[in-house]
Amino acid sequence: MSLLRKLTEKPWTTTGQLEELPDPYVIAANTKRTALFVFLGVVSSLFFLFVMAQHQREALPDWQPITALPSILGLNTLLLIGASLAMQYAKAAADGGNLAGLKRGFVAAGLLTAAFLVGQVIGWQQMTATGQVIQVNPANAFFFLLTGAHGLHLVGGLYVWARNSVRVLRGFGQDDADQARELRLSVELCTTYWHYLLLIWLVLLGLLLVT
Amino acid sequence: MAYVAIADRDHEQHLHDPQTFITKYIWSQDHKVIAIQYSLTAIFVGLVALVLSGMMRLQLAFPDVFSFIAPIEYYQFITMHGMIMVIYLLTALLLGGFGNYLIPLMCGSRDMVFPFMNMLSYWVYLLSVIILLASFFVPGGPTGAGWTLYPPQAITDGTPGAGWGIMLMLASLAVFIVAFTMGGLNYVTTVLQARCRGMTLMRMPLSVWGIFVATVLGLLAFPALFVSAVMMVFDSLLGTSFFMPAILDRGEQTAFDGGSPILFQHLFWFFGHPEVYIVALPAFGIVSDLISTHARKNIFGYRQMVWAIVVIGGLSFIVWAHHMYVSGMNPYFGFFFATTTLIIAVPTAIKVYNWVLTLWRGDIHLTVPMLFSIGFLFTFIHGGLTGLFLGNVVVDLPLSDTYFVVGHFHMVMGISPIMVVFAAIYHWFPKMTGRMFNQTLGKIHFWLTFLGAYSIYLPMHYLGILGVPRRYYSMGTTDFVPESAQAMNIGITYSAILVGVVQLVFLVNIAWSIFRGEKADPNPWKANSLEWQTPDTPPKHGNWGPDLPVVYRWAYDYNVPGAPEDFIPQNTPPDALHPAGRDHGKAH
Amino acid sequence: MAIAIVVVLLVIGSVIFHFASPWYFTELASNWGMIDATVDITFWVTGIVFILVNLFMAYSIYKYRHKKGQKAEYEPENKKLEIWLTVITAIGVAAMLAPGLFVWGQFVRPPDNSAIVEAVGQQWHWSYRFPGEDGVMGTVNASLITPDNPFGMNPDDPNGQDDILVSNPEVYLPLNQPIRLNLRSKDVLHNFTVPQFRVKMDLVPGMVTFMWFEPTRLGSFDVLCEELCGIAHHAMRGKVTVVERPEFEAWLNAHPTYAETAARAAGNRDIGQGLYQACAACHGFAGEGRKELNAPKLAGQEGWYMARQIRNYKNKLRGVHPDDIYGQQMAAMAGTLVDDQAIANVIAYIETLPDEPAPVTVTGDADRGARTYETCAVCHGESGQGIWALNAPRLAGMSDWYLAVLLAHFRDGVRGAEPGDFYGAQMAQMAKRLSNEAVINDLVAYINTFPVNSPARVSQAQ
Repeated sequence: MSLLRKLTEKPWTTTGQLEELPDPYVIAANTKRTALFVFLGVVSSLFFLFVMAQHQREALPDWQPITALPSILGLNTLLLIGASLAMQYAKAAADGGNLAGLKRGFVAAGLLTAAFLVGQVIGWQQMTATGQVIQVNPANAFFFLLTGAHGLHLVGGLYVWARNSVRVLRGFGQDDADQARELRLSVELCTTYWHYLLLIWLVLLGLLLVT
Repeated sequence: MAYVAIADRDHEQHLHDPQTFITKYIWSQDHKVIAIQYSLTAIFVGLVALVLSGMMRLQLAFPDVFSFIAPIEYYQFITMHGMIMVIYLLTALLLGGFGNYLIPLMCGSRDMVFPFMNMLSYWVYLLSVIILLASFFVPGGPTGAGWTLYPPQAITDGTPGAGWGIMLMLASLAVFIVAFTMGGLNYVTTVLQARCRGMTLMRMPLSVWGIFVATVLGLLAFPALFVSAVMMVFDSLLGTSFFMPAILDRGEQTAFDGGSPILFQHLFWFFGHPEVYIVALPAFGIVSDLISTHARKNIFGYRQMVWAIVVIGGLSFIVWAHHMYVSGMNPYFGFFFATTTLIIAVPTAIKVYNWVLTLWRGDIHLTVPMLFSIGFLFTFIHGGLTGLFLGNVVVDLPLSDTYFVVGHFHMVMGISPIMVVFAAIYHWFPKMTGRMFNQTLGKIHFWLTFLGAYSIYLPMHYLGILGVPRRYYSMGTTDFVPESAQAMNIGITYSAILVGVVQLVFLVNIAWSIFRGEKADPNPWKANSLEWQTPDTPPKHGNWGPDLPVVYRWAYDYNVPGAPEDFIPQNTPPDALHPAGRDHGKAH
Repeated sequence: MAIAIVVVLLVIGSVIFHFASPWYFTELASNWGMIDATVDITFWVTGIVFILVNLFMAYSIYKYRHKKGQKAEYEPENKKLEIWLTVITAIGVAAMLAPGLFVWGQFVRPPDNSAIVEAVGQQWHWSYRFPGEDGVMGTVNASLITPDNPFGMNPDDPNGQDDILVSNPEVYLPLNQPIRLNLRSKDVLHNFTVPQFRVKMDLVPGMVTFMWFEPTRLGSFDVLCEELCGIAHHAMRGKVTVVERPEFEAWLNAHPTYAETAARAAGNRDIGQGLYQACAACHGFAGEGRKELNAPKLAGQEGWYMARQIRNYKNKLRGVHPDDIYGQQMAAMAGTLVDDQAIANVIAYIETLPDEPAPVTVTGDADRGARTYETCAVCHGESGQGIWALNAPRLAGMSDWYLAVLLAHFRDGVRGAEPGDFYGAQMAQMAKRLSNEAVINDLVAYINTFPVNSPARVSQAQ
C-alpha cells in the first residue's frame, strides 16, 4: 500500500481490519535500517547546512579560495574509496556466506579508513606548515571545519566498526543462523554508512576544488 | 540487543526485569521512568526560569529599586529565561517527557526500540542542563546576549558573559542536541517500526502524530543550531571570521574581517522557526486527544488534523526569515517569506476550527484537563491571530522588536503549550501514578493561571503598539510613552507574581496526590487509546504483560451509535461489542 | 459552565480594552500612513475571527456541556464544511497579505528624489553623516576608525571630503523630504527606530542597510535602538528633529565637513597655558583640583571628554539646573573660551600637566562597591581608565569627592536632564540604581583602589 493511500485512509471505515505481520526478524532488521536512515537524515541536514553556510559566506567580498589544497587529499580520497569498496566486498562475502572474505574485507575497510583519517591529519599539517592556518581566510576556516566534521563522523563509524570486527573475527558457527543473520545486518549497515560518508566526502572535495 | 523489545509479539521476559532500585529508577531503560526523569528535570529547570522572569518583572515594574538586578543581571535573566523555557523546558518536556511516555504506550510497544540509547539521551540531557546552570557560577556569569545569541554582540565585551558564559551556553546546546538526537532517533523509529498489530498510521492518536512530526522537525532543524554554535565557537576561540565582520570591540580594533552576522541569523532561525513547531505540534496533538476524550466525541476531521500537522511541519522550514524582516537582509526576501508565513495560517486555522467543531454537539465534561484544553484554545486563538500581524512583513515593521512580539510569542508558544502541558499532566497523572489528583486544587490552579496569564500578555501587546521596545532594562524618559504605561507594567508584574506563586498549588497537588491521592481507576476518563488499556496501573516495565495488544479501530470511537457504552477502546474487537445484545437495554 | 461565561467575558473585555484603553500607536509623523492602514485591516480581520471563533466555542461549551443522558454526535468529518472553512480562511489571509505586500513593495524602493543620510550606530550612541555638496558619500572602513577619525572615513576618497559629519545623537531632517537612511554599525547589531515613523531597520556591521521615510510633522522624536546591543542597549538614544528646510540648512551648515575636521589645527599648548590661568584659580595650577573650591582634578582626564563638557557648559546642556550651584559657576567661566580652537588649546595644555592621583577623601566598603562597579566597568573600563569609543571618561585617580557628588547629581536629575545632553542622560539612567549615599561611597571607595599609571604612583609603590 502506498504511503499516499495509507495517509488518506478513513480510519473510521476500516474498523476490524488487520494487516498480516511480517516475520519478527524482518521487523527487527527494518528497525535498525530505519534508525540508520533517520540518522543519515540528520547527518545530511548537518552537512547541507555547513555547505549552505559556506555558500553564503562565499558570496561576501572578502572571500578568497584556498591558495593550495594539501597534496595528500588525492591519496586520501583513494583510501576512502578503497574503504568503501572493501566494505562492499565484505557485505557481498557475508551475503554469500564467505566468512574468510568477510573478515578480509571488513578489516581492510577499517584500516583504510584509519589511514584516511591519518592522511587528513597530515593534510591539516601541510596546511599549517605553509602558514595556511584557520584564521587566514574564511575558505581555510571552512576547510578545517568541514574536514573536521567529516572526520569525526568517520571516527564514530570506526567505533562501530571496532565493536563489530570483534564479532566478525570471532565468526559464527555454521549452525547458528541467528548470529549469521545479525552479523550480516551489521555489515550491511556499516556498508551503507561508509558509502554515505564517501559520498559526503566527494561532495565536500568537489566543493573545495570548485571554490 | 534492542530489536528484541519490538520484534517480539510474544513474551520476552529477560529484558523487562530490572532488579534493584538503581536499575529500576535511576539507570532505568524503561521509557516511562526516563519520561518522568526528563519531566522532573525539565520542570525543575523551568522553575529556575520562572524565577528569572519574576526578577525581570520586578525590575520592569519598579525600575532601579532592587539592587540585585543591574543591567548585567537583567540581560542575563532574559537570555537564560528564554533559552531555558524554549529548549530545556518545553522541548525537553514535550518530547523527552511526553514523547517518551506516550509513544510506546499509545503505539502498543513494549518500550522504545533502543532503550539503552534512550536512557543515554536523558543523562546527556541532564549534562547539558548542568553545563547550562554552571554558567551562573563562572567568571562573568551567564551570557546576556538574548536567547537568539546574535553575534557579534554575543562574543564581544559589551555583552555580559561574552567569555565563559556564551561558551558554556553553546557547549550546553551542542550537548542538548546530541541528547535530542539520541532520543529523537528512538521516537521516530519506534513510531515507524514498533507499532503493535493493527496500529496503522491513520489509527494513531494525534498525540503520536504531533510528537512524531515534531521530532522529525527537531532532527532536521537542530543541526542548524549545532552548525551555528560550532562556527561561533570557532569565531570566538580560534579567531575565524564566519560571522564576524571588521568591528570595534569597545573602541579596540579586532582581527575579524568580512564575516556576516546575518549568516548566523539565517542559520539560527532555520532552526528557530521549526523549533516553534517542535513545541507546538506535540501540544496540538495532545490537546486534540484531550478534547476528544473529554467531549466524548470523535475528533472532528481526523485526517485533516493529520495532514495539517504534516503540512505545518513542512512549511515551517520555509518561513524562517520572517524573524528577520528588519534584520537588514535583502528586503525582497520579505515578499516570499510573508507569503509562506501567512499560508501557514490556513492549516493552523483548520486545526482550530476542528477543535471547536469537536466541542460542537459533544458531551462536554468540564474536567480539569478539559478546562486547561479550553484555556489552550483561547490563548492559542489569540496568539495565532497576533502572529498574522508579525508574519505580514509590513505590519511587522512598527511592531518588530517591541512588546507586541513578547506578548505574541508568550501567548502562542509560552502559555498555550504550558496549558496543554498542565492538561496533559492532569490527564495522565492517574495512569502515571495510579492515583487521582485533587480536583479542587486543579481547578484553582487552572483559573488563576489562565486568567492571570491572559492579564499578563494581553496588555503587553498594547505596550508594543505604543512602541515600547522589548529587552529594555528600563524605559527611562521618552516623548511618546505615557505615564500610564508604567501603571500597566506594575499591573502586569502583579499578575506575573500571582501566576508564578499559583504554580505552588500545582506542585503541592502533584506531590500530595502521588502519595495520598485517591486510588485511581485504570481508565478514569473512559478513554479509547491504548495507554489506558494496560493490564497494570501504573504500567509495569514492558507495558503489556504477556501479550501485546491488537488494535482494531482508531482512537476516537466515542458515542458510536448503537455501541453499549460511550467509548470503545482501540483494542476492542468488533465482535466483542454486542455479547448477545445484553447491554442494549442499558443505553436508554 | 463558568468557562463559557468567562470566555465570553474575556472576548468582550479584550474588545473593550482595545477600543477604550489609552494605549495605541503614537501619532504618525511620516508618510507611512499605509502601514497604519494595513495594521487596521489586520485588526479588523483578526478581530472578527477572534470574536466569532471564541463565541462559537463558548456557545458550544454552554450548549453541549455534560448533562445526564446526553450523547455526542458521531461525525468523523464533513468535507463540505472543511472546504468552506478553508476557502473563507484563505480569503481572509489574502485580504491581509495583499495590501501588506503592496505596501512592502513601496518600502523596498526608496523614491528617486530621496535625500541620502547615514546613521552610524555604535555602543551606545548615534552619529550621522550627510553626503555634502556632491551628493555622494565617501567610502568608509571600520579599520580606519580612531579617536581622530571616528567615522572611519577613507582620507584618500575625494567623495568623502565634503561629507558633513554630525558627531551627536541628534539629527535634523527637513519636512516633507523623502529620506533614504543608510544604516551602518561600527561594532554590533543595532536597530534604528523612531516609533512615530513606524519603520525600522537593523544596523549590521560589515554592511550598509537602509530604510526610507518622509517626515510629515514638525517636532522632535526619540530614536531608539531596538536590537539588543549589550548592557546599555536601553540607554542608546538619539533624536530626530524635523524642521522646515531653511532651519535644516542652517543646522547642517553649522557642522564641519570631513576635510575641515581633518584639517583642524591641533591645540596649541602655549596659548592654552595662557587661557588656563583663569581655570587655575579653582582647579589648581597643576590641575590637581581643590575640594574646598569644589573644583575637580583635571590633570590626566581624557581630552575629548573635557572638550565636550566645556561645550556642554557653553551650550547650556550643563550647569543650568538650580541645584547645580558650582556647575552654574563653571558655565559662566566656560564662556571665556570663545571657540573650539580655544577649547582645543586649553585642553592641549591640561594634557601636559602631571597626573598625580587625587587624594583619597571618600571611604566605604570597596568590596561591595566592586559588585556595583561591574556595570560601570563595561563603559569606564575594568580599572576605570575610560574608553573613548563609549564616551566614558576616566575615573581612576580622579577626585573621588567629585565622583560622589556627580553620581548623586546624575541620579537626582541635577545633571544629565537637559534635553540634548545624550551622554549625560545615559549616565543618569545608569545612576538611578545608586539608591543611597552608602552605595555611592562604596562604589567610589572601590574606584579609589584602581592603580594609576602615573610616575608618582609607580615610585610610591617602589
